[in-house]
Amino acid sequence: MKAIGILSAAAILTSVPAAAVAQSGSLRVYTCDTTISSQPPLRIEDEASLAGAILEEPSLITLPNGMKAVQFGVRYAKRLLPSDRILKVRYTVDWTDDCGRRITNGAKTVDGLILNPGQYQTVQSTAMHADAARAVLRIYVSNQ
Amino acid sequence: MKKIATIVLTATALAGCQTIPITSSNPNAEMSRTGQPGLVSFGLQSTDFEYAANKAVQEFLESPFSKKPGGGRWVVQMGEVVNDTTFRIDTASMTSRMKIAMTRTGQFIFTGATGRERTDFVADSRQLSKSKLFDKKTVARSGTVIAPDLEMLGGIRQRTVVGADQRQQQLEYEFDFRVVERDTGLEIFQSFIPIEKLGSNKSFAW
Repeated sequence: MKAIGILSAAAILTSVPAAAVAQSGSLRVYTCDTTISSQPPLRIEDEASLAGAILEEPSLITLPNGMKAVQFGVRYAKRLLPSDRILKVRYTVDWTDDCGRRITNGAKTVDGLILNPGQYQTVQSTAMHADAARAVLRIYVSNQ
Repeated sequence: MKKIATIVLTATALAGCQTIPITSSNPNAEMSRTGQPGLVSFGLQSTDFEYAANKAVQEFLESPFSKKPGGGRWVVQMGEVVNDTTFRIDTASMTSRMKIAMTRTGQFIFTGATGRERTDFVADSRQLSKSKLFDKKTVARSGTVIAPDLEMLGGIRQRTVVGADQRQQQLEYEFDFRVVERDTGLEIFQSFIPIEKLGSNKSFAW
């Protein structure tokens, strides 16, 4: 009985630091040298909806591997259907970390899709750095 | 009246001769760093490499394999990238952009000891210990080079499609990249980025 007591006490003692390590492994600690950004995690500048490419359900998600991504849908506006125009939708996603520091990786590029009459498309744009936490989505139609 | 008719006829004839501008599926095709509108050509341009490299890296980062199990960085060896287009292009225009973006994520580091981008520096440095010229404390030790975990390789392909009326042609490019894991031999990732360019059959990139 005494041996069981000693073993269980030892088990509790050894499990405490393990739990602490496991917890600290999942935490992201930031030291900001600037004021922490008070902006919402996802900001949207939508110039596409008025031009006929309706932005739907934009959201900021976390992928299973921990990377952040912006997801949204674009729907061809019914009012444009008689015109039969093909829309060139363009978008950019600018990423910052939790301190509001801009994260740049790779060349500055615009992304895009072609929206045919009646079409609906979903898009996912993934951050190119694990520290990226906040995003600004700018979306517009280029063939005005 | 005769003069006006001649002018109208000439203008109409010239309008018939005008070439169709080249349009590209790359949304960055017309982007320019010069302050003047960018030129779009049938050939591969820096904007095409930038767009394809960004897309490929972004897709890789979406994959669950982009994070090394147990933490740390993947050590990546650059393999062969085949240029299967009719143009003479340096594939490093693509691979360098991918390497830069991948390294900056902090999840990958590329090796110069093995693969297609191997330099003689690593092996040659081991030879220096045999020379009496060098301070033995400063020469590279044996058994310190880190072996790669992954190999990245791929190809750039091209297809030309000409319209039935011979007026238009479409060039289709494919940027195909894959990553193979050393221990299992499994292909843990593949990206396939297409870019299409449409224009007059009278315009040639070569």
